[in-house]
This record gives sequence, structure tokens and C-alpha cells, in this order.
Amino acid sequence: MKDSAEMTRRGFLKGSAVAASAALGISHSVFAAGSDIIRVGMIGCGGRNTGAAAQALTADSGARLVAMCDIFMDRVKGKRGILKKQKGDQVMVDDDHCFAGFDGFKHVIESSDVVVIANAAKFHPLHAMAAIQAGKHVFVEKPHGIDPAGIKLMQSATDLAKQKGLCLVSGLHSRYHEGYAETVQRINDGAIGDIVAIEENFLRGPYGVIARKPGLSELQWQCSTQYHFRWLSGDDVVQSLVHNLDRSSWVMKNQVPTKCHGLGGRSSMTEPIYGDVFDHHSVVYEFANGVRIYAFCRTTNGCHNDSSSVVLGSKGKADILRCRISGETNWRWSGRCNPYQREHNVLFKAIRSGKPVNNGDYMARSTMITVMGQISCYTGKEVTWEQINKSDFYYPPRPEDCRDGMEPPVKAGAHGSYPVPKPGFTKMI
Amino acid sequence: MMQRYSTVPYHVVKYVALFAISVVAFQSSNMPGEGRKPPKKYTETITTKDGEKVSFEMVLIPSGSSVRDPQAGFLMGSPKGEPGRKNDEGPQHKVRLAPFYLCTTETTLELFLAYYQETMSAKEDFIEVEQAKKDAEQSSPRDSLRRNDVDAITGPTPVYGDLTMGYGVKHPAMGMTWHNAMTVCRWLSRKSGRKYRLPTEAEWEYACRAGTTNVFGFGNAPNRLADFAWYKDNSDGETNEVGKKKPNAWGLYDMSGNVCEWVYDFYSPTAYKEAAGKTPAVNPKGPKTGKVHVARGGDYSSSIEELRCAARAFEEEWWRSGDPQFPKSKWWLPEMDFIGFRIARSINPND
Repeated sequence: MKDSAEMTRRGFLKGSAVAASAALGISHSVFAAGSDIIRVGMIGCGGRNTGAAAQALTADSGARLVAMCDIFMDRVKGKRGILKKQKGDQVMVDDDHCFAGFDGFKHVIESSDVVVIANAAKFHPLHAMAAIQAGKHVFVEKPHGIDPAGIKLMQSATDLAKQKGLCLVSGLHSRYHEGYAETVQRINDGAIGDIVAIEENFLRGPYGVIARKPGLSELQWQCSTQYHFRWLSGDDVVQSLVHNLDRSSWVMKNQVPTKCHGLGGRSSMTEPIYGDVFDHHSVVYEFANGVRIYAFCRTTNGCHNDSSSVVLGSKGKADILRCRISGETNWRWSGRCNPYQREHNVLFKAIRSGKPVNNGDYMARSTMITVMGQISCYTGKEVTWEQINKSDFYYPPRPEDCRDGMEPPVKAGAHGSYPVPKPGFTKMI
Repeated sequence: MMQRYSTVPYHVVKYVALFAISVVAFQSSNMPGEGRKPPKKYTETITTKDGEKVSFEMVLIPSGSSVRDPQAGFLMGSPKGEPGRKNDEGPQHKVRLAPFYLCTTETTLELFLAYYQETMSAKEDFIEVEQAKKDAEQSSPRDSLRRNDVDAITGPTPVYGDLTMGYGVKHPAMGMTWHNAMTVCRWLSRKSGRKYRLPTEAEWEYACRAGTTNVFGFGNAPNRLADFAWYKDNSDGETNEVGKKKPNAWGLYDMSGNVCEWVYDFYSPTAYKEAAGKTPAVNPKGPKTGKVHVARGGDYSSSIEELRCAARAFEEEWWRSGDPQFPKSKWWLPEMDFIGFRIARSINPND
């Protein structure tokens, strides 16, 4: 079934990796001291970065995984075994190239031609910048920072990559989805008339919670469950709505909203195990031409679920995730696409061909849009684009100041729960 | 902090609230497996932890053989020359089946969401710690045996995204792995006290044929498909609510189209050749080992050929491509809205 052009609503590109590898042919560059091998390093050994490494090794038969790091050595060793089983000889990480702790990324960068980065988003700008300064290509997961200071660093890394002719590929996968791309193109060609408003939803259950294992320090515990701590993840508007708001920004031809106001809080995720994040947020963004984005995210069980990006126009509407347009024009995309694999196919093709790809501008912009929304939810105040770009706010400590064994910046209060922002009282920018 | 965490049972209250007592909607005289003659159909009703009732109908699928003709059975697979036939559908071979129950519809999101809410494990180690706490506090294990059983099932990890994929609750549940579908059956069994399972591939095909030897359950003419199935030509690229088309002769809806359905068996392209060697096969359960499982019936995007009673599909590598992580989730096939399942049950409770 589905072996022809037939496909699912959100289909997938079958065999794209094979085709891409075959198309690479003879390499134009010399890698790793005279061979055609491209050395790949992993910064972060969670499920997502292990996936990214597997996609990198799939994208290019000359790619070799050579170094790995994480806060936890058991994760490094565990994922090395899993990847070895799947990718065999492409995984060449010896014990001397397994690194743990906050400084592990430096050693991985030294050993690699390309790094794949997916760890706590606080570190994405620092690690991407360090790799680019060292002359290495980068794949980095979203979000591309969690605060204005971090995003500015990511923007500098973007500019430096352009100067140096290095690749910088973003994990904002929507832009690599052929069906979404065609839907956005049709919107921009006028299929739904003028855009009036955009509704963005990411409503679903909470991120996994992990029991606190005996022996973990408070710092290790927070790092092990990073989605639940603001200083590491930046919270849910930044973590999750970034995909939605990246699509909105894309549809709006990369314009930026002039201002936003947000609401947020915690209703059910109040136990200490949920750290100090909010469990629901709504943000309204406004553009100079009057178009508004209404964006919602929630991480609560037993409630209505919705994952959608719906663009309302004067002549119809577009449902981007379903690749559908209805109204005066009725259209539906048919095809299959695996955007996660495509990201790496594009990256390695660019490296081989010597024609660098750089997603930095939209990755920094889309992430900044989420950060202004998140901060508005915390403070309860309207936040303008100008304000957020002037701000140098960061969640302490600075990523470069994080040390193994340090005191974590947030601590549980008297009842075991962590303090959370209070809209109307909290000040951040 | 550590100390506090291990002594305060934050989640105990929550877990106690999870317990829901299943309600049996049919009368005791109709109790399948307990009366002399199993009822032709019955309604199973379970109560969710929110106190809502979810029902589905189970229909008796008669045995292919009878007292008069104990050797009878049905011919599994397609004859050579059937349009659209693939090699793995042959050779046709005789299969004898004990009667069983099959759900008249594909499993709905409504039921699946109830399962998800009650069994979702954030992470297995989290559940283990909580379970240990609960076990320690459990004073009277006897009167809570059943609820403990339900609670002991470690269900899925949180889905990557929204498991409903935007569909309403009367649409089929979809995007779960075979393992996840099997776990739903285990959960349902504990909750109801009746042993539910996936149908075997042979049972599925027999039920789809509904006693006929046709290409499709209702006949051979593809131009009648739109009365019975949601598929490429009429689905508009989406699943539809279950049970909206005509049922087959045995009262089963959507056997063809809408979502394809996990069955118990491992897939092997040569399974029928091996089965044909020991014909007639009696209650076959497919190859003993394998890597991927069979999914039957085609889905909303299927062509006519894929809707044939004999057509076989199986899990392909790209079914996991919506999952950006590695290793891939044991529970979810994110964004794969074309794969679901249907619940079966043996008459003999020991099966």
C-alpha cells in the first residue's frame, strides 16, 4: 500500500535518503585529513539528537559519528550502543570521544566537521557559535535560544557562518516539509485572498515526567527534566509554539509582529515534578498591517487536543498542517515527505557541493517572536518587537558560566514547589 | 528536596482517582462464555475515570465448520488472476476457525483516549517508583485486585504532538504501534473481565469475506465500493467517523477502507506457502517470529486493489518517519493517521 504516489494526509517522502546519497556522487571537498569522510559530532544525547545523528548518517554514506557529549555519561554510552546497532561502521566513537558535563561540547567540536546540536535550548546559541567559530558546520534543533541575549548570539553565529561559508541548518522542520511549503506558496499567491488572521494551536498532554532517581544532585535532576525548568528550556511558548509561530512568520513573508500580549499560568501541573514552567499560554500578536495571530499552547491531560496552523483569509482558509486550502479555491496537497530526513539531506548535499545553506535568519527571528510572547505571559505586560530586541535579558546563569556541580539558579520553596512568575508583578525586560 | 520527594505521595491521590469500575451492559443470561450458547451480539460498556461510559458492539463470527461438515473452512488468500493480486496472497489454502467475536467497528478515538488517560506513563521509571509507593500503602490487596490490575498496565509514553490529529472522537483511533494496540486489548480485558485481543489475520479475512468468496466482502463489482468503504475516491483524504457506510453481511463496518487494521500476525511474504503445507490450518496465528506485523483492509487513501478481502499490508519503515527521535517510540507512529485496529475476543475464555 501507499507505494505509488498515493499518500497520507501528511505523507512522507519514501526513499529520499537513498536518492539523496546516490545523487551526491563525487565530493568536492576534502574532509578529515584527505578522505571523503565527514566527521559528525553529537552535542546532546537525548532521543531527538540521537534521531538527528541517525538522520545525518542516513543522509550521507561518508558520514561517520566520531564524538558525543551530554550532561550524563550513561546517556552518551547508551545512545552510542543504540546507534552502533542501527548504523554499524558509521558509528566510530571510542571511549576517549565520549564526553560528559557542561564543557563536553568543546571536545566534540574539536573532533568533528559537522555538529548536530539538540540539548537544553539555553545552550543552542553558545554551542552553535562555538562550532562556527571553529569552522564547523551546524545542525541545531529549535528553539534557537530561550532569551533575547541568546538569540542575539545566535544571530551573530548566523552572520559569522555566512562570512565563513559554513552551513547552519535549523530543526524548524516545517520549512523542510514540501506539503507545507506548497500550501504557504499558494497562500502567498493569493489562494485565500488577503490574510485576516492566523490561529495557532498546540494543545496536548504534558512532556514526560521522570521520577527523581536517588543520587542525583538538584542540578542534575533539573538537567534531566529540562523541559520543566525555565532557565534550561525557556518554557512552552518558546519550546513548542516555535513551530507554529515559525509557520505564521513564514506565511507573513517573514515580517515581524510589532507587539504582543500574552496570558499564562499553571492549573494542573503544580507538583514539584513539573518544575517551574506554566502549563497553558495564549498570545495575541499584531502586525503593522493589522493582521493578528492568536496562538495557544497547553500541556494538560484530559482536555481538548489540537495541533494546527490555520490561516484565515478574505477568500478562504488554509490549514497548513493538513496541507489544505478551502473557500474560493479548494485544494489539497498529495505527497509524502519526511522533513526530518530532508533537513540532513539538504545539509550534507550543501557541504559536499560547497554551496552552504544558512537558515539562521528565520531561526533567530521565529525564536525571538516566541520569546516576546513568553515574556509577555510571565510579566502580564504588552511587549513590543522593539523592546524585545533592545533587551539583553537572559535567564541566569549565562550558558558559558554553567559549571558541573554548581548550585542551580532555582530552588524549591517550602512546600517543595518551585517559584513561578506572577503576571503583573514579575519583571524581566 | 530528595527526602521530601520520596515521602510525600504527590501522585497517590491522582492515581486513586484513576480507578474506574467497569460496568457490564449486558444481562447475565447473555454472558458470553458462561451461557450454553453464546449470544449473537452483545454490547460492551466501560466507564472511564471521568465517569463517562464508552460502548462498542461485539458480533459473533460463526465457525466456518459445522457438525454436519466438520471439515469445512474458508479459503484464505486470493485466486491467481484476481485483478490487483500480489504474490504474498497465495497460494489459497483452507483455514478452519473456531467462532469468535469481532467488534462491529474500528476502535474509536473515544475508547482510545480513555485508555490513554488511564494508562499513560510519563516515563516507565516514574511509574515504577509510584507503583512501589502504592504497593507499600496498599492495605487490602484482595478487594482491589481488579483495579490494581488495570492500574498495573504501563501504557504509552506521552505522544509527540496531538494523538487525535484533529479528528473527532467517533473517528477511528490511529497512529498507534502494534504494541500499543495490543496494550489497549490488555487494558480492556482487565477493565471488563473479558479477554479482548486483536483478531488473527485469518480471522480478519474470514470476517471480511462474511461467508463469501468475493473480491470484496459485498461482491465483485468495484463500482459498489463507495457504499461500503471510505477510500481514495470518496474520503477527501481523511478518515471518517466509524460505521457511516453499509456493513457487510455479518454486520461489520469499514472492513475495507477508513483505517487499515492491525492484526495479531507477523508479516511474512511466504506465510501462505508455509500454511498451505499443513492445510487445513486450524486457528492459525501466523509466523512464530518476524519483524513487522500485518495490517488489513486498506485505508482512506487506498486504491481499489488495496481494499480487496485478500490484500495484505504490513508495517513499512516510513510508517515511523513522523517520529524524529531515535530509538523510535515503542508506542506511536506520529502523523500516521491511516493505521488503526479492531478488537476481537475468543468464545473460549482460555484462548
